[in-house]
Amino acid sequence: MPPWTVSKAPRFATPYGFRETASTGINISGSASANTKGSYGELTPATVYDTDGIYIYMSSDVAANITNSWLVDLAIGAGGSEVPIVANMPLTGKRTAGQFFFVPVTIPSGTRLSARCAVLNVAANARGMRISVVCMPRAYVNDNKTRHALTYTYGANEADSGGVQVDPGGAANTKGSYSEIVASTAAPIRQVILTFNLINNTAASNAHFLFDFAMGTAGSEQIILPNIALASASGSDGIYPPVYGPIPVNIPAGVRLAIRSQSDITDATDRLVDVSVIGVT
Amino acid sequence: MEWPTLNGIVTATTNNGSTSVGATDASQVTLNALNTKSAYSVVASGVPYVAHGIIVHLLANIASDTLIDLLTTSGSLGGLIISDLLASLSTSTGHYIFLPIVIPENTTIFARGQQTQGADQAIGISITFLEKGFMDRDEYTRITTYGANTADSGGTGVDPGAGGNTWSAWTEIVASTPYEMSAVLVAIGDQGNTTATAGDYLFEIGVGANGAEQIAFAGMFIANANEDQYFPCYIGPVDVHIPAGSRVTARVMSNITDATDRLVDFVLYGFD
Repeated sequence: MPPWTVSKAPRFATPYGFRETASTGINISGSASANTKGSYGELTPATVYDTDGIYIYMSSDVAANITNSWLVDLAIGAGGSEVPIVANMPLTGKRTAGQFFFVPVTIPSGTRLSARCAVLNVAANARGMRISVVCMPRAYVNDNKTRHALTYTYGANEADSGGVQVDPGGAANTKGSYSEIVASTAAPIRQVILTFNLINNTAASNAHFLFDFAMGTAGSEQIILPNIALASASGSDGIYPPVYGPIPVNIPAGVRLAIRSQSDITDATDRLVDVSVIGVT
Repeated sequence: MEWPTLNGIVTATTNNGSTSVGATDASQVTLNALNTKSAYSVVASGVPYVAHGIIVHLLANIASDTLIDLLTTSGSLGGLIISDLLASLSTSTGHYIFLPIVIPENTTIFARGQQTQGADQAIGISITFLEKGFMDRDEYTRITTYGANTADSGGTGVDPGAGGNTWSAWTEIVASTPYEMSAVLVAIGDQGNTTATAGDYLFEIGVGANGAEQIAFAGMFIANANEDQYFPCYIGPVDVHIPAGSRVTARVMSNITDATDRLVDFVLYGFD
């Protein structure tokens, strides 16, 4: 593909929802009822260009030293008729804890984008967050890539704004049992995004983890991505990296997904990690 | 293309000499003190297939910016995979970096590094090799580093200025790219700041002559949550088409104004 001339638009990434007055994104807030999605906040009434990938930036906007957990939907559609295109993206941590996703989905120009969230701790000074997006046009997307139009989020737990809890067990540095993320994938997965968070642990330990992401029936799991390495941090009650991917894969529909972990700590609370999986079709 | 879930399954392979990354892990790589590259260490034995991409995992317990070289030989940069990979670390942190680079079969990967502290430190590195079945995109054979600063194990510093929520001037990362960039990875560091203030930032990458910069990446958000590193630390690789001979720049704005804590380092890695 020949290079494009830098002086000619439209070939550039386009941001929506960012506020230059605060160096951050728009504010949205969870409902006053725990783990209940709040109102949508508009990122843009209409995207300017066709999009083939979208960067989603999120950060918490809570009072200092408060740890909270959110599940966030990015939606398309007119006000009152929003439809999530990426659902239940987790965000966990203290003030200004940041998270970002790159989701390779196709969105036509002229699309209204909005976002909403649910939150675990609904104290008035604890449930706000910020979000902005950058839409990447076709010129940024490799022509050999398949275009994607759908995502499915597996393993999100809307009851506690978390995911599937994965326990490495009480033996350090030993892989624990598999936790099922989904019994049967709804559609083929061509790009997979794994998310990790500490389930609103407000006193996390510094620790290391290794995760195996697998597919297959119980007892016959086959590992697709082995030994994904992460670290938790006591200072921010976060785990890093909190988002892993997108990684190109070929996972059929109708497949069971599972994940297991090991850790160098054995504390019964701090060794637990919530996991969810976003499958891009 | 579907691949079978039973026979002939395509899986990734992670080699790091150990299944447990910790203080005694064999894949620990020494990062030499005071901005001097260490000797090479083996971080991953090869796999019996051509890898069409690798995932580099980093685990660390040190608060420092680091520069890491990954190579396929131990004696020189002739087998270079990536030079001066900027890794901004804190007291407990992990990173992954996806590199769509072709690695021949049975190729051992070595690493060496440097950091800013006064004593040698260790970092855990593991490599996941991805077979062709994973790769629904182009792969590349060269990664070129722009803007790394080996004098302080960092990158090109960009100062958002004291104004708060105001774009800085464009800072040049590279005056003229020697090769076309078909993809770019952006790495972000905090200049080894171990007492950073929590803050929000927006940054933009520009392409073009001085005074005529055109924004290639607009309104990219990063945050520092008192963890002595920014999140995200890596953006990309993003597919782009930046011609050879291009001048590439960056600018930043922040909601904090502290003269030290507001500073950001950038290093770009061009794939072709």
